[in-house]
Amino acid sequence: MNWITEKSVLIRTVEAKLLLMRTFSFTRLLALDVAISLYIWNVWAPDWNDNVDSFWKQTSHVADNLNGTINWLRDNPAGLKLNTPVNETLAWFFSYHIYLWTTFIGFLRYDVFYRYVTNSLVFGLSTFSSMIYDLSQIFFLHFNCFDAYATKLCYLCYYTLTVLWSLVRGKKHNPLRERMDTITLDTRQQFLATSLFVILLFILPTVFVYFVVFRSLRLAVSAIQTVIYFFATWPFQIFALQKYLVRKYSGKPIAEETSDSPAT
Amino acid sequence: MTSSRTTIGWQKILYRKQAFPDNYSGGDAQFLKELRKNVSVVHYDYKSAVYGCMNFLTHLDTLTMYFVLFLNILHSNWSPNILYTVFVSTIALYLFFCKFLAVVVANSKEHARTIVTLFLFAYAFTPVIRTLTTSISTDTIYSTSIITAILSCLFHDYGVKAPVVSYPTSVSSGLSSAIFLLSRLEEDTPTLLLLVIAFTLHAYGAEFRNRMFHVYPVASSLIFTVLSSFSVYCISSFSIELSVFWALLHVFILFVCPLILILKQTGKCTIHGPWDEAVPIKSIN
Repeated sequence: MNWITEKSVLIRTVEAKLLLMRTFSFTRLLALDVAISLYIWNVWAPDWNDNVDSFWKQTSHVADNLNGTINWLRDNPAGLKLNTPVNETLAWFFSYHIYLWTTFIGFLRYDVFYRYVTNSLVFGLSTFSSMIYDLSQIFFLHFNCFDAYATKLCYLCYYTLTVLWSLVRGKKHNPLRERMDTITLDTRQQFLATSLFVILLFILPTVFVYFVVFRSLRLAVSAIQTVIYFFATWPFQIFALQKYLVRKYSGKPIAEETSDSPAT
Repeated sequence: MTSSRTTIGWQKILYRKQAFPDNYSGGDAQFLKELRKNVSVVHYDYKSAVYGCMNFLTHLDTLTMYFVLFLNILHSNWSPNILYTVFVSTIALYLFFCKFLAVVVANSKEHARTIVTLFLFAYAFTPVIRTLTTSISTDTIYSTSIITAILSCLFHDYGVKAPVVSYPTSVSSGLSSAIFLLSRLEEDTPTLLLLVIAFTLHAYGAEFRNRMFHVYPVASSLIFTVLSSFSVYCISSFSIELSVFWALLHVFILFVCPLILILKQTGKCTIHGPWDEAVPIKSIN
């Protein structure tokens, strides 16, 4: 439960608003907030269904483009020397996960859901934005997963490769003394190290390309999310942060003037 | 003054406080008395130099034969059965080594374990290796393979204790050179056999050859003659010019290089003295 309160921007923002309800500047801000949201309501409300449709169209575009990128990677674009079997396997793996993602967002396609989002405009732009943000976190959950898989795989390959490269030269890292030691492997270990090194060396570019694709996908999504986050938190949370939320969410002590006041 | 003080008793030790400055080293006479020339120089005669070159050339010839074997298998000039022959002869050489050449008695359990591991992993890696570089052009692979083979030759052990000799580097680069080549093949069985042959050649070839030249020098030189003429013959089926060049290289390395060494080694002059860094006294095995 605590985890949800920490993650959900909506809950945090509402909390912040409640805190600032008494101050005059907050009432002004709230009025501005609601005014903007009513304007947006006015512009969007008449053809809201069209907007939802076009949103879904864009979503399926994203899925199509992702599948297209993976198909593009399948036939060694731009002279990249990708390893065919590994490429096929990764392409299959990730296109299956994209399929899973499209199925997942199919479940989100409820009318009620969007009516709630629309109606939240009544509570002001920031409430609307924070709802959108929370929704987008659920919506793009799988993109983080893609990135995590690709990163883990790439890092594993890279780390193994660095270790094997020193083994191939007859060296090993000594963590106790933070230096490279000479090591004499017996022949079968040497065979394994060398074969694995050469194999990984040729596999690494392929894994790296997938890493780049999914990392940039995640960065693009988080760029959009940052903009929404700004609108969701901008006026209210910044004020509230100084007064109350710092203590609650980061575990830091209360601001200095409050701790000083009993002493003086 | 200094000589008189020396007689009082300056000793080249650090553990006692002496009445001399820290940088004092016994005065000029004392210092230069310890100058020695050509302490660790080994003087080779022409015959032993030729044998050493023969050892080197034997390795080059075996590597060349490996490339020739690979190319002929790749272009289906030779039947794959020849791989079985080479493989069986490898086993025969191993038994010969254990019986006649090995310095220490072979630990058969350890050897069996090595062979089983080698075969299992080679068998597991074969499909991976075969498809490793399908998207890379053949020329790139050949040049990389040859560069790594040359690297392997540089670090290889030819029976001379030199600082450049590094067993792991030599085996690794030789084996990677073989793996680069093998990624061109289409079928699994030749790939597996060639991989095992390459590994045996790089990992155990040095020891076998050095012991062979040490124990049976005459027989080894005969084998070398047969091997080198055969490699020249095999290369001639690919390119006559290359085989002529190869034969000339053999003559040059085998006869001219030792001659240069013999002529030049009289001019060798290395000086040793107290200014050298300390070297621990090595125990003689």
